[in-house]
Amino acid sequence: MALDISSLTQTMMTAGQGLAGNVWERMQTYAVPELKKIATQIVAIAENRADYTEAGARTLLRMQVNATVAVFVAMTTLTMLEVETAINAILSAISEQVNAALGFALLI
Amino acid sequence: MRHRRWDWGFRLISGLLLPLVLAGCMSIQLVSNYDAEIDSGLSRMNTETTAFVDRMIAARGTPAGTYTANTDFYIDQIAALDTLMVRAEAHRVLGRCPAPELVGRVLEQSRQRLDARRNTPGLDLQTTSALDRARSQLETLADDDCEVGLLRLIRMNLQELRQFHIDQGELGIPPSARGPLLEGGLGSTIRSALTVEIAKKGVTTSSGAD
Repeated sequence: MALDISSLTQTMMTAGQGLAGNVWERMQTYAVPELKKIATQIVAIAENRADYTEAGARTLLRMQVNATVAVFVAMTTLTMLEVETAINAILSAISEQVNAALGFALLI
Repeated sequence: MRHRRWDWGFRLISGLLLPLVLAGCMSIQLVSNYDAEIDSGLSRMNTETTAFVDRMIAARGTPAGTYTANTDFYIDQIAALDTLMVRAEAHRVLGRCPAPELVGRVLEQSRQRLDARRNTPGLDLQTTSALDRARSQLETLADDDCEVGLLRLIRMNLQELRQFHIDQGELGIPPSARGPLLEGGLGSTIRSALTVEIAKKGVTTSSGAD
């Protein structure tokens, strides 16, 4: 079997296709709801201001900023994980095609 | 036209990846492997923190609800987290977290928009200072793996919980603080780290599980 550029490209495209969709799904199912929860708590701190000392209210707000940063860092990690998965799927597809074309396992 | 652009894009990527393949690099790793100890450690911390906050709310206004009667909780949780951080640091892959590059520009643009329409000075000032704080936090986390950064953020919020307990003095922890502490705040930070750990569980890499 000859090594066909079009077929190889198509295989790689198929292997990488899920990347954008998966990242978007992570945004919808994790990041957006989590950021909404944090925003709700910022409003709640202001509404219940009488329950807190001034220093206590400031500390609670700092905690919300840290939590927001954690969402950004987690989303970055999840994106990197999706990129890693997509690239490895592409690499695997290349090795399958190349090995099939050569008739022996050059790439394992 | 769009298909052709994709086609050329993937031809370019294939050109970049083929040397990797030919060099024998059949897989790459950008994120550390799943660690069951970190997963269970974070789950346990979530349970214990929730139970602690609920106990403190129930005991507010009594000696049992004060910070001085509960210092052991903070010592134990911070020690447990430090152990998880040692594990995460041992699994370092990149030694860098690209979050500032990905999110820093969005935060900067948000700040510029707020500066441009500054009409409620008190509120806007607080928001811009929160944005600045978020950006500088991200920058301090950039020089290590993102997973280590997430655990550092949990540590910061554990210390903030302790500070909140101290700040509140005789008022103690009121029921209205449950949401900001557990839905947002520390609870949200633990959930973020757990979300990443659980996502990693479904991914296997060539280097195998730890």
